This record gives sequence, C-alpha cells and structure tokens, in this order.
Amino acid sequence: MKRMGTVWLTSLILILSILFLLRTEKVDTEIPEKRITFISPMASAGYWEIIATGIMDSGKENEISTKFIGFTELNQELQIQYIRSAILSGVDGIITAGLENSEEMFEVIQEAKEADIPLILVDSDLPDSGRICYVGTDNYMAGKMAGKDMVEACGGSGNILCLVSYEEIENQKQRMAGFRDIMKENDNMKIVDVIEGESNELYLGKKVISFLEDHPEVNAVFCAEGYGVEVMSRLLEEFPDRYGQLKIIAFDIDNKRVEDTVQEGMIYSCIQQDPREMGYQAGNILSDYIWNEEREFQDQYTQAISIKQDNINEKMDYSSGEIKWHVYEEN
Amino acid sequence: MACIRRKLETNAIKTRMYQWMMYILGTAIAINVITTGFHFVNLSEYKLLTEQTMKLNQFYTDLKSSNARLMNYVQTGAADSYKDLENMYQENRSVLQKLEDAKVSQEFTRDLQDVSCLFEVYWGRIQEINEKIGKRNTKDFTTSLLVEIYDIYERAQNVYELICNDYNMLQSSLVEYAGIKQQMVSRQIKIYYVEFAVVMILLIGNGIWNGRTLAEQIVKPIQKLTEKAVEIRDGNMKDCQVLNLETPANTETEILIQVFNMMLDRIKEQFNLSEENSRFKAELYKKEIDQMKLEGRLRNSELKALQMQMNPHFLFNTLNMISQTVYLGDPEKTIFLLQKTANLLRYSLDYMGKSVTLEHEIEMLDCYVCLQEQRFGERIEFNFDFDESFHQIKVPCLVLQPLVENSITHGLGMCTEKGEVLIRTRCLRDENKGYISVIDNGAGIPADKLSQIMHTVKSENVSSSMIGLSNVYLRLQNFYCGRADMELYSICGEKTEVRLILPLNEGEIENV
Repeated sequence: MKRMGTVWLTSLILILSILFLLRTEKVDTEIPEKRITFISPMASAGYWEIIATGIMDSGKENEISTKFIGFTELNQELQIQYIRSAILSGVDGIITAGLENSEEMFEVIQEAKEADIPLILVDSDLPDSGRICYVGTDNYMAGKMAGKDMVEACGGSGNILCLVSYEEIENQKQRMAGFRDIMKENDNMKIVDVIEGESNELYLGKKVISFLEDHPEVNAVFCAEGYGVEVMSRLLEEFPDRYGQLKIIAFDIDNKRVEDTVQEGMIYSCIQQDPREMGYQAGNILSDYIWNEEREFQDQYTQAISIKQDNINEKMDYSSGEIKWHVYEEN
Repeated sequence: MACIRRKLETNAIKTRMYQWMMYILGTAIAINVITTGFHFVNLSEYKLLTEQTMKLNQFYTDLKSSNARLMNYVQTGAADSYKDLENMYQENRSVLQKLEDAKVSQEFTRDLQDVSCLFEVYWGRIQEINEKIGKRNTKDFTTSLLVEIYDIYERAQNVYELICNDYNMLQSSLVEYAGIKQQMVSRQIKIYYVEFAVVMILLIGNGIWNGRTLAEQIVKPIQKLTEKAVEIRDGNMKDCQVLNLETPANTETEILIQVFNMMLDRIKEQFNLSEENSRFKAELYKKEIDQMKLEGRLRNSELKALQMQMNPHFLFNTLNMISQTVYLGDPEKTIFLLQKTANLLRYSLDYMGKSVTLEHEIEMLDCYVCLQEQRFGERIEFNFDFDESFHQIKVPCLVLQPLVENSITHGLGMCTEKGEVLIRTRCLRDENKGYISVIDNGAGIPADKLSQIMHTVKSENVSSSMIGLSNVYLRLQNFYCGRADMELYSICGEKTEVRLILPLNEGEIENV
C-alpha cells in the first residue's frame, strides 16, 4: 500500500510539473477594432495619468483600444505633431487638452474634423476650435471658487501672488479670469503678481522664493495649477516658520505631501478636480460617437470641490491604472 | 487486464525488481521528456521573438532605403525608381502583415496598426507624387506642379518621420516584451529547478527505500537461513526451532524457508527415530550380553557340575577297590592306593575349573592309572609314549582321566585279557599342534556309530552316556576358545583311539 502511495505521489508531482511548465502564459494580444488616442501634454504620474486611467477604463468597457501619448515637458509643437500623427493613423477618436490657444492648434483640430475623426478636449477648452465637445472642470467657475476661498482665507484683505504654468494656457486664463472677477469685488484683495512656472518645479521654486523675499507684503498665494502647489507645500514643509503665515489656495491635491499640508491647515484650501471623470466621460462620448453614431454633444463639466482642513475626508481618492505611455521627445 | 495486475502483484523477486527498475526508468524518462519539452517550448518562443525583431528591423531598413529611393525618384522622375518603390512597398506591407500575426502584446498590436495606417498614408502620398510626376512630359507640368510635388514630398517626409518614431516605440515594445519573457522564463526555470530537485529527491529517496526494502526482503531471509544453518552446524539439531519470518517476503524466499523448515522437521524426526532405534539396539545388546553371561555362568556351573559329576563315580569304584585291598589285608598297598586316591582327590579339588600343566595332568593320570592297574590287574596294561616337548602347556584339569576311563569302560569292558591302553603325546611343531591320544585295543566302534558318537559328543546336548567325552570336549573348547579338537578313530575289533588336538603357542614348545 505504501508503495502505491509513493507511486501516486510521484506521478502527481510529475503531472503538476508538466502542467505548470508547459503552460505558457497566454498573453492576450487581440485588440478591439476601434482605436482612440489620448495625446496628453505631460506623460507624468498624477493628474494626467488619472485622466488616462479614466479613458482606459472607458475604453475597456466600450471595447475600444486606447493609446496614450505624452511628453516630458509642455510642448505645444510636439503635441500638435502627434495629434496629426493620430489623425494620419486613422484612429477613430482623439482626446487631448487644449492648453494653448494657437493657430496651429486650431488647424490640427480642423484637420481632425475634416477627416471625420471626433476630437474631444479635456482639462482645458478651446471653444470654437472644431472639437466635438469639452469635458473638464469649468475652469472659470473653479477660478471663482478659488477666489471666494481666498477672500475667506484672507479675511477680506490680502496681497496675493499668483502662480501659473503659462499665462497663455487656456485653463490658466480661465481660472485667473474667474479669480480676478472675485478679487474685483473686494477692494482690499490685490493681486501683486503672476509668476509663470512653466511646469518646472525647481524653476518655479527659485522664482517664488526670491519673489517672496522681495515682496514681504505678500500674505497669500494662489496656485492656479498643480506645480505651484507642489512648490508651496515643499516650502511649507521645510520652512514652516518662514512661510507658515501665508494663506494659500491651490488647485490639485494629488500627492500626499499636499494632502498633509492641507490637513495641517498650512494650505487653506485646495480645489480638487475630477480628472478620472474627465477621462471616463470623454471616452464614453467617443464611444457614443463611434458605436451609436451620436453626433450632437454638449460640454460636460466635471466637478471641482474645495477641500479644506475640515472636510479633508471628502477628498476623492484615485489610483492610476497601469498606463503604458508612449513618450516622445523633440528630435 | 486482470492477469497483468496479477502478474504485477506477484511477489516474486524478479517481478519486484522489474517493477522497481521500470518505475525508476519510467520516471527518469518522464523527467527527461518534460525537461526537453520545457526547453523546446521556451526555445520556440525565443526563436519567434528573434524572428519578430528581425522582421521589424528589416521593415525599418527597407523603409529607409525606400525613402532614399523616393528622394531619388522625386529628383529624377525615373520610372524604374517608381517600380522599385512599388516593390518595396509590397514587401514592407507583407512584412507589416506578418508582424501583425505576431503575438507580442496589445500595445504592440495597436502600435503596429497605427504604423500600418501611417505607412498607407505614406504610400498614398508617394502615389500622389507619382501621379503628378506622370504629368511631367505633358503640358500640365508647370512650376506650380513642381511646387506641389515638393510639398507632397515634404508631407511624405513628415509621415516618414512619424513612422520612424513609431518604429522606435515598436522596437522598445519588443525589447520590453523580450525582457518580460526572459523574466518569466527565468522564473519558470527557477521553479522548475526547485520542482526538479524535489522530484529528484523524492525519486531518489523512494528508489533507495524501495531498493533497500527489496534487498532486505531478499537478504534478510537468507541471513536468517544462514544463521539457522550455522546453528544446526555448530549446535544441537534437536534444539533447533523452525525458522519464522515475521513479514511475508517474496515467493522465492517463502518457499525456501518453508522447505527448509520441512526438512528440519523431517531430519529431527529421523534423528529421534534413529536415536530410539539405537537405544533399543543398545538395550537389546545389553540383554544379549546379559543372556550370554548368564549362559556362561550357567555353563560354568554346568561344567562344574559335570566335573563334580565325574568324581563320585570314580570315587565309588576306587573306594570299592581299596576296601578290597583292605579286605585282602595288604596295608601297604592300601596306604599306597589311599595315597594315590587322596592325591587324585586333592588334585581334582584343588584344580577343579583351573588349568594345570600337561606334565602335572599326566602325573595325576599316572595316579589314576596306578589305581586302575591295581583294580584290573593283569587284565589291562597301561603304556605311555610321551613327547615331552610340549608338556609345559596349560590344559584344563582332568581332561585325560575321563578318556582313559572311557577306554577302560567302553573299549575294554568286554575284554578279559590282554587289554592295552596306550597314552601317547606327540607334538607337531609345523602345525603348532599337540596330540594326546588314548588308544585301546578293544572291540572298537563300528564306523557309523563312530560318527554318531562324535556328533553327539560335539553337540552340546549332554547325554548321560557320553558325558565324559562331552564334558572333556566342552571344557577343551571353552579353554582353547574353540581351537582344540577331539577325534575318534576306531578299527573294529582292533583298536579305538581318542585323540585330543591342542593348539600350541610359540613359546610352549620346548626343545627336548
């Protein structure tokens, strides 16, 4: 009996070995028929990747193949070049961000329209460019929300430093417009200056430090985009005594450090956007266009909420999926 | 199926060994097959990957060369160039299609589709150029057409650059995929090694265990058998117990041990039997010896009785004779006779059952003869003829006297005169024999009766008539252990001879 037991055991092990070893991991290489491409200004983890995750999820649900193109730094030319590449590749839909209002951008969006390829803008809009719709935060309203927070934070009087990526970028323009409109309503709220960070954290940090040195009257900072808030939170962490008195209103609460500073109350409020929803909605709209042949679309405004110290738990939690970025650089 | 199973289940050594060997061989072969299969699978996947990389490279190289061709074509407008371009286009398209069949990853497939579209656009622009160049030798060929051609060429170049960029993406996809595959393979190899080691250990352990068990099942019984055999050899077979195996071994050893035990039992049985036999035999032998001793004693006592039987008869006659001499009033004679008688009596009392020298016996015979001479007077004459060379030999006491008495009573009984008794001794040196004869010249005995008498004498039936001769014969046989003999000769009406033949030893013969 013992002998039979050993025989069985050994043969079992052998069979398991066979099954295990000869099983080659079948990789699913089939892709759906329909293709869309997301050309993101930045191929970075965080905000844009969350948008990409939303698009990817939508693509999976709607059986559309998604591809993600991005760049190492903001580069309108490259962006336009690859939008054109996507058009020439005969994709069934394009998603991109209308960061800069330029002729070339308008041109390429027209090209997409002429090629019957639906193009959606997320995060920042270029109205009348020929895009089928815009999905993103109502940046003007978000700017106003930020402005209201600022007034609250400063108690009605403040000297504000504004940090933007580029003043020309559409969503920055709209946010600043909304912010400024609120500031106009309050006499004692003055915008001292606007600094362009060019989406470069170190560069911006240098500028901020020197500016704050030169302008001690500044008691508030408005960060109109994510890099600004990263810089400020860093400064707060390392020099809390120096910069702890500043009232800071920011956009995008995407990383832990920022979150902590909000929780500690060092940043008064953060306007959190919903990038995943942007991507998801954009993907769904394209799917409608592709599968359901829908042709009439309306702009979708995704939510933006103001996260302060006391409602920190309302913060939306996103994790980015595994996005395989195609990163191109200027050659 | 059942018979195979039965065959497999037999416990024979050979079957078990075959099973064991087949088992080990089978698993070794299986492991080898699996290893080979494993490596084969991995190898084929690796080859596939290499092929794909090569194809991609080929695509890129061909693209580059066709782009160079394109420039040449645009500049020269040569139809051959366009033909070349067309060929290259076809080739590249087929390569792209082949690549699409490759199962690398979803990203790869997607990129490939995008590149294919771009490639078609590229070719489309080349065709546009071709169209426009076709108008070269016609009236439509204007400078603006040329500008258009250049324009299209530029746009074709843009697409070409996009394709080249995407080529890099594709290549890095492949490389990444290769890397992933390699990781997978190395991981699988590690797991495989671990499993292999485990399986080998199990196998080896099992094989050793099985082999050991098998060997033990052969060796242990043999050892036990040998121990038993040594026990039997060195010790007492009677005390050996049968061999018992605790665990059932294989058929062969079981049979061996069974038979061994059987043989042991049988041998013990035989042993016991023969022991009893010999015991019986010993007892029997002892009884026989006792019987013979008894008979011997009996004979002794018979002999003694016989010897004593002789004496009263003679004594009676002698006393009668002496009483006559007393009656005749011859005291000297009486004394002489009485002395002789006394001698004789003493002699027979002293030496009864013992041995004396022949010389002594003859001396005593002389006494007897004297007495008889006195009794019979002139009727019988006693003569002596001696060869004294062997008179020192030992003889039983009173062997001659009965012979002489026989001669007197039977031989010369009827004779009234001139009876003669001759007593003669002779030594035959050559034959180592001595003769003592008592010869009388009496009536003799007829021949037939002669043999009868000898027969009766020599048989052990003691009858009253021949008691003297029988007695003498018996005692002689006893004394000389059967080497002596008695002979009877007779011539009717002339003489009768009783001859004693005694064996002589070397030292008993004297030179006289």
